[in-house]
Amino acid sequence: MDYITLSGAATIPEGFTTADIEVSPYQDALLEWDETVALTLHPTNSYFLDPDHPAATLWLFDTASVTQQFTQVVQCPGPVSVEHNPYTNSLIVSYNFWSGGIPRNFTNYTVNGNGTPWTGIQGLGTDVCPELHFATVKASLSNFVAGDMYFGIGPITNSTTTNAFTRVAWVSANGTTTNLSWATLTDATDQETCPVTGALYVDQTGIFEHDLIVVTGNGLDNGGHVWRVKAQPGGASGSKTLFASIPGAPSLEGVITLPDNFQKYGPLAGRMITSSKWVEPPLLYAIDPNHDITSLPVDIIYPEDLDIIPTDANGNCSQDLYCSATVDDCIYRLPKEALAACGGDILITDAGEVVGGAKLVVFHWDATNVAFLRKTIFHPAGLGTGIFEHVCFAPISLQALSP
Amino acid sequence: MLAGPADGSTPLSPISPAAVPNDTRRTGAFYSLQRPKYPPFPVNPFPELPVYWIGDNSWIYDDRAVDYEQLAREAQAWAEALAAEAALLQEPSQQTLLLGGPYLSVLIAKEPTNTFATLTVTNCVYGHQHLVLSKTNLSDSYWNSEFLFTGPWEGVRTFAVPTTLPMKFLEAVELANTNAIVSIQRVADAVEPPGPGGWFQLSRSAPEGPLCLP
Repeated sequence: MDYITLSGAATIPEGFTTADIEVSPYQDALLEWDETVALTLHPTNSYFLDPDHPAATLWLFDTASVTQQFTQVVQCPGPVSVEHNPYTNSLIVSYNFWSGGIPRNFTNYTVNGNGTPWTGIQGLGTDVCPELHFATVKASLSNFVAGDMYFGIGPITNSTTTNAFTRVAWVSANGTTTNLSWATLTDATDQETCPVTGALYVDQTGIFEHDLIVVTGNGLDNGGHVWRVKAQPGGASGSKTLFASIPGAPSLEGVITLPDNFQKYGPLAGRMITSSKWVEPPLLYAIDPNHDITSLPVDIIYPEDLDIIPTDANGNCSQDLYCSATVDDCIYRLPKEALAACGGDILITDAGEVVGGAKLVVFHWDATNVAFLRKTIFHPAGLGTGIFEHVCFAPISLQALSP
Repeated sequence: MLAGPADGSTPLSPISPAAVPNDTRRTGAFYSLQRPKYPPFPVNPFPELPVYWIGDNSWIYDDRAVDYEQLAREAQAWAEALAAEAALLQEPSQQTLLLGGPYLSVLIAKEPTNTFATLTVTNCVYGHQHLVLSKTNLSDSYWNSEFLFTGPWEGVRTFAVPTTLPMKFLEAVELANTNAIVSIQRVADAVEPPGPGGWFQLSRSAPEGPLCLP
């Protein structure tokens, strides 16, 4: 037990309505998964239990959760999304959130830390891109080309064209060619009218035929659609299919697909995972290839982004992590050593926008105990502070900025 | 309780029913085929079993597969459970706690899906706090809380309760101002030193004397 033993009883003093119960952890040198302390009230003849709050659990974190060595590697105004481009071996950043994409929406950072404009795209503000999240293709698969990037755009209110529906834009791997209407999210029966605030992802598993997965949401109270988009030979968009509709139409954030490996991912194996921070409690949604949707409560206040931690042969994280901090106007780098022994695990980014602060939470399936273990790393500003927007792993290591 | 031939009972032999309209089988003299010397029932005790007209307003029901000994054991267990509940409510503290307000009735009706039942609490007092309590075993010392609610103006409140195990016994009470509702919530997580400690907060609704929680 890593905390001072709690006594068997607590007293609310006369004239008071509350009493605090403190949990005082011990220091140990072990690197452990997050631990929990759970208290349960027992009924007696002296009081009734509140049926909504008869028990509570708090987390007990390692010291390392607040002492990780984040470094600022990029300073840029209002970064939203950051992705590694394998074609240029650089980081592409969507930024200028505060100025509506003026003078430009994208910038490109190479290993030496120099930023250069990326594409001529500019002026995509919150009216058509509430948050400009994008996906880069990690490896060429099923007519998707490594380095190409995709992002959502629209819909445009009161448009009389297909722009009235949500579109997917495309940028070539070298950034020289763009198409803001690469695909319109419509099929024979459905026409998407919610923006893509959350995420896009190219399936790496093959379970979803290496399609581009697009989840919708207006960043508040409407969304919940999961689309699959194919690419044709030559790069044009192929079929667009509304694959799943999450009950309640919550605004969705983040999406990944997990290999069909039950030993590694437990009940999430072989499923598409997305999330919503706009429902109470926040939920993960696991969607199987047969469209069946399972929701899982997750004790993360603002799930914002989902990633699979790249692994080396020893099960350690093999790439540094880059975190977009919109309010801090910078990109942070977290060295891969901070995620040792977490290779292949799921990383959920908690945006921390209003309460609780931003954090990175590793989910590791414990097949022996049939439960997910967690490891939390807090925003460099400290426990309970800071905001993360989007994160990505990259096989490059940008240098820390000079203080 | 229907017993099959595998339990050692005598194999059933076929008999031929007499043709009579079903709606005539509601009242009369109902004789047992298994216990023909027993006096007849005024109504059919096993309406799910075959019944045969034997003349006038007399009937015989085919109860040869009924395990009367098992039925007797179940009836005894039910009677003991009811007695235990009655005895428990006579304990002063529980009586004070549970029966401080007007009598409330609890009615459970099963929904067609069979996964949820409708729990209806009547005689609620408008604007007053009420609590639905439960036990999985009537011999347990204390009740657990299921639903806390304010009495609606119409005096009736319904809840959906899952019909999955475990079986629960339910009770509803109107709370007095002196009844404390106690809750516990997480306030802050903890980090190993030099990080901050964590804490929970206990809260109660009635700030009277000191309240000790085990």
